[in-house]
Order: sequence, then structure tokens, then C-alpha cells
Amino acid sequence: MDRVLNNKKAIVFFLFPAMVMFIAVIIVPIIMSLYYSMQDWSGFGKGTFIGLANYKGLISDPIFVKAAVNSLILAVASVFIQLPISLLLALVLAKGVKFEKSFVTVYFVPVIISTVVIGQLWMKIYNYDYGILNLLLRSIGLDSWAQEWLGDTKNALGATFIPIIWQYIGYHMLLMYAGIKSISTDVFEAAVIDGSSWWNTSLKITIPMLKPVLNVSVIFAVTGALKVFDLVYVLTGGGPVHASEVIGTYMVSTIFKGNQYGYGSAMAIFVILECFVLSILVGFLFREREGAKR
Amino acid sequence: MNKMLVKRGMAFILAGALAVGMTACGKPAGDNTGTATNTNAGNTNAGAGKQVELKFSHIWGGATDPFMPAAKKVIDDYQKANTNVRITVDTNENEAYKTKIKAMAAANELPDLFSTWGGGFSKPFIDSNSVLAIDDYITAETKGKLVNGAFNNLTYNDKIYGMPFFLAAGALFVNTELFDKNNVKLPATYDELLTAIKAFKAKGITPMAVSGKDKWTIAMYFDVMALRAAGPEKIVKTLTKEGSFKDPEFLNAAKRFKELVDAGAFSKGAAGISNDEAEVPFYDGKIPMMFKGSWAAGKADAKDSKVAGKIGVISFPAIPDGKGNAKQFTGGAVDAVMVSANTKNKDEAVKFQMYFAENFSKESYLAGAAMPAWKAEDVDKSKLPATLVKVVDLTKDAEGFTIWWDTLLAGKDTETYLNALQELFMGAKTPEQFVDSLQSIYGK
Amino acid sequence: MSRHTTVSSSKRSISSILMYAALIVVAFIQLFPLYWMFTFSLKDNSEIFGGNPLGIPTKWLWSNYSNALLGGNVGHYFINSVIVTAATILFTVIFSVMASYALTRMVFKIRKQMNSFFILGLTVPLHSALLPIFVMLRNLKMVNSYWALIIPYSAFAIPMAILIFSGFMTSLPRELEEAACIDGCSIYRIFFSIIMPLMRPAMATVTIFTFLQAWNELMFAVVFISDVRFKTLTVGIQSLAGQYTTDWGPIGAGLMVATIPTLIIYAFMSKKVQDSLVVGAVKG
Repeated sequence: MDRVLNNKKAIVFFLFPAMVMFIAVIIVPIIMSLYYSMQDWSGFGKGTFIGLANYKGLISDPIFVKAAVNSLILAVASVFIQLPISLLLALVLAKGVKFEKSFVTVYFVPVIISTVVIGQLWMKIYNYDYGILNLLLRSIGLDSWAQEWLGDTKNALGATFIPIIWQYIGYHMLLMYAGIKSISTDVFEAAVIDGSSWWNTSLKITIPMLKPVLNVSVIFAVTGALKVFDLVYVLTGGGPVHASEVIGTYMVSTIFKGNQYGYGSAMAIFVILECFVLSILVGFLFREREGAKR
Repeated sequence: MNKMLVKRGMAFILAGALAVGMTACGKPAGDNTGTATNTNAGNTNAGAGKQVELKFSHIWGGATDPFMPAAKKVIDDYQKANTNVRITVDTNENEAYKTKIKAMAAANELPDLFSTWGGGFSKPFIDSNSVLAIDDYITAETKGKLVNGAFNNLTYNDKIYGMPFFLAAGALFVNTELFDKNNVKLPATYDELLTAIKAFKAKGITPMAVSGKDKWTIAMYFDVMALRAAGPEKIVKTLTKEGSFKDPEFLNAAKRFKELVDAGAFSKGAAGISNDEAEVPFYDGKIPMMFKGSWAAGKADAKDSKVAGKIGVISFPAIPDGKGNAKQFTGGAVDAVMVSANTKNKDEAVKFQMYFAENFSKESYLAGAAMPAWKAEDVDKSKLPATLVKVVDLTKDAEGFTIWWDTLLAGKDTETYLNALQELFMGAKTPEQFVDSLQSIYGK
Repeated sequence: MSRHTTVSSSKRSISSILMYAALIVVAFIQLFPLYWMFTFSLKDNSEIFGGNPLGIPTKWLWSNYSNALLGGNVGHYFINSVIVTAATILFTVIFSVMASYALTRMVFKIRKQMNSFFILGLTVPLHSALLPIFVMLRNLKMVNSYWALIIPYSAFAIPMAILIFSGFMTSLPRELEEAACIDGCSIYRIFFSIIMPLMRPAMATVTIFTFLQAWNELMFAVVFISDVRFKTLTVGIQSLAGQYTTDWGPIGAGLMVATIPTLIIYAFMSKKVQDSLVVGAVKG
């Protein structure tokens, strides 16, 4: 067996195509961003080498620090709010409810809808004058709670993150659902014979067996949150007054509106490192826990 | 052994890919000035049937965009008259286009012709030698056909780089029906403007339309107030970093602007809505005033317009202690078409550039979509949409046009200005702090 | 005894009623955007922004659809999107399953590092990669071709796909391969005739995610393609916006047209995911 799995030719054969694409499209841009990040470059013509000055600039740039913190908040919220909801839905649906297939399909719908539409929809929900949120608050007598949501510096961040978290619940649900479905049914049957309740089965058997998939979900949630751009851009553009600024929006306005390609590239490198370190850490935590159990 | 092979293979791929990625970067975008003369010589008898393809990227492709048919007609007409020229058009959405054209310049991949904006937006293109200077092609006759100052925003280092076609002017669009119905007088002075704002406000009507999210719409208001406060020369001087935002005129403008905000000129929800949304109540006849560029006329005259025939156009009134007056306008000729310095068919490209600018100017005017930067006295105004004609009449004896700040400023400075203005608008900055932020454009 | 069972069964039925009620409420929330997009596609700006933001359109503007379909050149762009997306899915799925197999099952020294290496692909912000990839495509003379999109889309999807496939593969019992090995199977036979079929549920998942990515991608598609022949649907829809003002109705109509295939693909693929139940049973 080992000899077969040691087959170097086969390893190269299996890895080669993915590797070529990956290096050309992912690694090379990373290296180029690294190169740009050490330059004072507008994106046009020639830049000047300035060493680590851009990185020093990042630390002392209050907007960047705020954006980085906001992005981290989103990552934490995704892992501790979004994923548990997704997991609960996946567990409930996978245990075999009526219309299981229809529910799985329906719950995924927000993922399919274009960000533009999701953004427009939530703007209607949040609108000060006619938004349903304020109408609802006013109708139950909480007039003083009705307020400006996306346009107020206090509320903008939360109001922006809720749709982001909501939209991708179905995404993670599907991933987990598929994971549960590929666990052998024998395992569950054995548990049922043992008289274990659904909750118990979920906690003691399903979730531990789902770990590889959960690991993937957490990594997707964290990296997705740290790189988030689209919906924030549509909803607030990072405003008002940077209240909902995330690294993605700040980087894009720095590069493409501010013409500071070098500085924006330093942000990109920061995001890459942050995502990479956190992903490795997540993977490590999952493996660690697994090891401890055995 | 095999492992070494794998490693070496990877290293090879990496090196190869890197080489492909890097080579174009070191090369400055427009070092083709040397080869240009050759192309010129080979092209002297271009009209004699040599087939030429010109690539042209622009932003007028939207199905319901009033500029779309005009642009299409001009390009089609040109190809009919010049059978040797084929124009390959690439149309894009406005915002995405700004990213695209910058990336194209950076990658040395600009099309032969591209639409762009004068002032700060195109400056890096010129600085990196990506754009062809066209002074040699512009005859006195051409200049005579254009309105005064048409090249102001397209001249860099005393050379002209682009051909303009629209003339945009900021004006206060007013719904006369709403004014009449509520017995409010059209404002001719600043005090009357304040009175009008308070009167509408008292009746539960939001007086002015603005989007706090699309910051440029706030700037529409502030730019004109700054112009009233400081006068055109001072504005341009200060924006080009030869003055100081700490001068009292700018503080005056900021304070007056805040006065409007505090008087309740804008809706409470304005900070959270986009321009498309902010404009709707105005075009639905629910908001009486909106300060916008002349393009706003087109929509007021559209066939399904609910405010057709009700819109008046007035100049923003002079403000107390102001150095400017109501005959000075914000705006100017900003939209332009430029030719890439790397084009292989310089003469053909410039020839088309001239034709396009002149005729697109005319066609858009005829379509009622924009004021022309090319003189168009011969156009029968009675056939033009009413609101646009009002803008034309209003600006007929303009003393001059002063470009919008966010257009004149470049890159980072634009962002600084717009962000500070948004903070002033939202009350996060006092007028004093606002001018301090503006001054930061000068560096420390 | 009998009392006991009735209590617990009525308890169970109450809790199951509550559960279904909750599931249905969630279903309504999740379906709302679809309903809303449909109504949105039949309104004008005045209704969308304030007049009637959430309700049924007062006047059904089917003209939004004709505007979108004619002005957006939708038919042609649609085919391009299909070509680009299909090719992207094909490359992503095949290359990623292959790589995942090597990365989870095969034995070589830098395997762990390689696994981490691929995670790098999840970390790159698209916007910062835009210019480097553009420059590279230009140097390879691939700007303005389907490849200009297929290659970057696949490359960005591969890390995600590898992660998903690896997650599923680690849960496959090793006995499968060992049994095959005793029978004298080659590594390629093991992979193609044993592993590949077992990966079907994961492939369906990856297909859905890759489809979403490639079908909806906008920025690369705008910048890398200037030739009308290769433009994709999202770009066509976006270009319905005007320079100064935008009619949102036709954009809604265009998005509606673009979303329908997504729904179909999704419904089809999620059935595949469900079919894994059968696979699971056989497997055990």
C-alpha cells in the first residue's frame, strides 16, 4: 500500500495542473504585491522604492486600524453567530424532516441572489423614512428607537454586518449538510439503537465526525470576513465617516480612487498574512482538539 | 531523485510565471515618442484606403442612457464616411470604467481612444506619458468652434491632451409648482434661500435633495458656496496649492453650508441613501430644490417625467461677505476623449477624436442630454427640451466656470476633501475643523 | 405507563410543530429576496425608491425586460457566461480532486506544507491581484479571450475546492484503498474508479460554489475583457447603468434573467448532494 501511495510520478501527476494555475494566478500576484508594497507608486509609470515605509504608515493610519478592527469583528461574528446558525439548520434538516429537499433549496437562495440586489433590499429595510425596520418600530410604539441605520456612525457597522452574516448562512449550511450526509448512516443507526436522543447524537457523534467540514467552514468564514468588500461597498461604501470601513473597502479606495497603489498593496499583504496565519491557527486548533479526544 | 525533480519543476514554473508577470512593470507606460514619427510618415496617405482599426473605450452604452444613441450615431456616421476605418467599441459602466482604464494604463494596454475626465482624474495618465498631446492638431479654426475655456481642464504643463464635448454647469433646479403651492418665493438672495428652506421645512417638506453617501452630491452644494464666498481665482489658486484653506473665505463657506444643514435643508435620512435614491423625490415632485449639474435637466424633460414643465433653473444666490457673485458657475468642460500615446495610428486616431468630440457634443445637445462645449448657435432651440434650454439661457452670460473640486483635485486629495465634507455634513466636524482637514492637502 | 407515553408523544408533537413553524418562518425570510428581486424587476425608480419599495408593482413594467434583453445584449453575453463558467467548473473540479487526493492520501515529505501553501489562495484579495494578473495575461497575449477569465477563476476556485475535497476525503475509510491495493490495483485505478465516484457529493458542492463565483464575478470580467465577443452577462447587466442616472428596473430584470440558471443549477446539484445518502449506505 505504502509503495503505491509513495509513487512520486503519481504525486506529480495529481498535483501538477492545480499547481501551475495556482502559482501563476495566486503566488505571482502575491509576490508582485509584496514588491509594490515597498514602493511609493501611483499605479502609473514608475514608482520609487521606499522599503517598509508603507507598512509603518499602516500602523499610524487611524482609518486603517479602524478598518482592520472592523474586519476582525466581522470574522468573530461570522464564526460565533453565523456558523452556529448554519450548523443548527444543517443538523435539523439532515435528520430528515418533511420537505427536507425543499428546505435545503430554499435556505440557500440568498447566496444565489446578486449582491447588488441584496444590498438594495437591505437599504429598503433600513431606510429612515419608509424602511420596514423603522415602520415596525413605530408601529409597536417604539418611535424613539426608529432611527437612521446605515447613515448613522453609531449604527452603520452593525447594520452593514447583519446582511453579510445573514446572506451566507445558507452557504455554510449546505457545506455542513453535505458533510453530515456523507457520514455513513450505520453510525446513526447504531446510535438510535443505543437510545441516544437526537441532541445527544448530534453533540457526541455528528459534530465530532463533521470536524473536517467545520474546519473548512471556519476557514472560509474567517478569510471571507477579512476580505469582505462587495456588500459593504453597496450598502455604505465604508461610510459614513469610515464608520463601517473594512480593509477591503479601504484598500480599494486607496488603490483606485486615491491612486496609492503601493500603500494599498501593503494593505493587501497585511490581509494575506492575517488570513494565512489565522487559517493555519484554525487548522491547528481543530487538529489539536481531535488529538486530545483520542 | 524524483523529489528533486519535483522541486526543480516547481522552481521552474515559479520563475517562468514571475518573469511573465514582471516584465511589463518596469517599462514606463508611454515611451513610444521615438517611434511616433515613423508611424506618422507611414500614415500620411491614410485616407487612401489603408485599413485601420481603432479601439475606443467609453461609458455611453447603457440601454436607457440618453447619451447612448448619440455616441452610437456619431461612431456609425464616421465609419460610413471613412470606410477605411473600423472602430471597435468597448462600453463600460461609469464606476467600473474608472478602475478599468487605470488598470489598462498601468498594464500598458490602453485602447487607441478612451473617454476620460479632465483635471485630477487624467493627471496621472499624463504624468506617466500615456496620453498623446494634441496641440499640433488643433487649428485656430477648431479653437474658434469651442466655447471659451473649453481646454482649461484638459491642459497639463501647457499642452492640450484631450478633446471636450460637454459643458456642465451647476445650477439650482427648483420645482416652481411646489414653490407656488406653498407660497414660497423663489430665492434670489441668500436670506431668501434660508427663508424658503425654513418655510418648506415648517410644512414638512424636505427642502433640498442630496445623497450623503455619494459624497460628490454634497460637494455640488459646497463647491458653489465656496465659489460664492471666495471667487473663482482664489478657488483655483487654493486648490492648486498656491494659497491656503485657512483664509476666512473658506471658513465663511463652511459656516454658511452648516447653516443650511442646521436649518434642515436636507432630509434626515440623506446620509444613508445613494444618489439614485436621493433624486427620486425631486423628480417625483416632492422635494422643491436640488443643486446639480446641467445633466439633471435631461431627466426632468424625460418622456415619463412627473415634473415636466415645472422645473425652473436659477443660479445659487450670492452669500453674505462673499467675494463671488451669482454669474459665476461651477462646472466647465470636463468629460473628454483622449488618444493613447501608444496608438499605432496616430493621425487616424486624432482625426476621429476631433470628429467624435464635435459631433458627440452636438448630438447630445440635440438629444437634450447635455450642454455642448462646442458652439451651437445654429441649433434650433425651440426643438430642445425646455429645462435644458433654461440652463443654457441661465449660463449664457456666465462670467466663467470653475471646475468642481473633486474633479480638479487628484487621487488622495479628492478623498480627503470629500471625506471631510461628509463629516461637516453629518456634524462630525465643525467648520473650523473642516478647513483644518482641507489644509492637510498641503501636507504638513 | 400509558399516561406517560401520551404526555411524551404530545410533547414531541408540540415540539415538532414548533420546529416546523420555525423552519417555515426561516424559509419565508430566505425566499423574500427572490420575491423582492422579481417585483423590483418590474418597477421604475420612483417605485423602487420610496413610492412602493417592497410591495407588488402598481404598474407591471415588462418593458424593463425588453430594455435589459435588447440593450444588455443579453443573449450573446449569456452564452459567454455559460462557456466561461462551465470550463471553470470543469477545470476546478478535476484539478482539485486530483490535488486533494495527493494532499490527503499520498505520502511525501512536504505534504503538510503543501496543504498550507494552497490555503494562501484563500487569502488574496481580488482587487490587489487585479493588476498583476492583468499584466500577466497581457504578456501571455490572453487578454480578450475566454482564457482571460477561465484561468483566473479556476485558480481562485482551486484552493476552496481543495479544502472541501480534502475535508470529505479524510472522512473516507482507508480500508477501501487497502482492499483495492491487495487486488493489485494501480494508484490511477484506485483514484479514478474508487475515489472519484465517492467524491460525488463533494463535487456537487464544489460545483455550486464555483458556479456562483464564476457566474457572478464582475471585476475581472470588466477589466480583462474589452472585446464585445467575450463579455459576460454580469458585465452586460452592469453596463445598463447610465453615466449620471441609472434606471434600476432594467438592471433588476437583467439580474432576474441571470439568476434563473443559478437556481436551476443549484436545485439540480443539491439533489446530487442529497443522493449521497445512497452512496453513504453503499459505502458502509
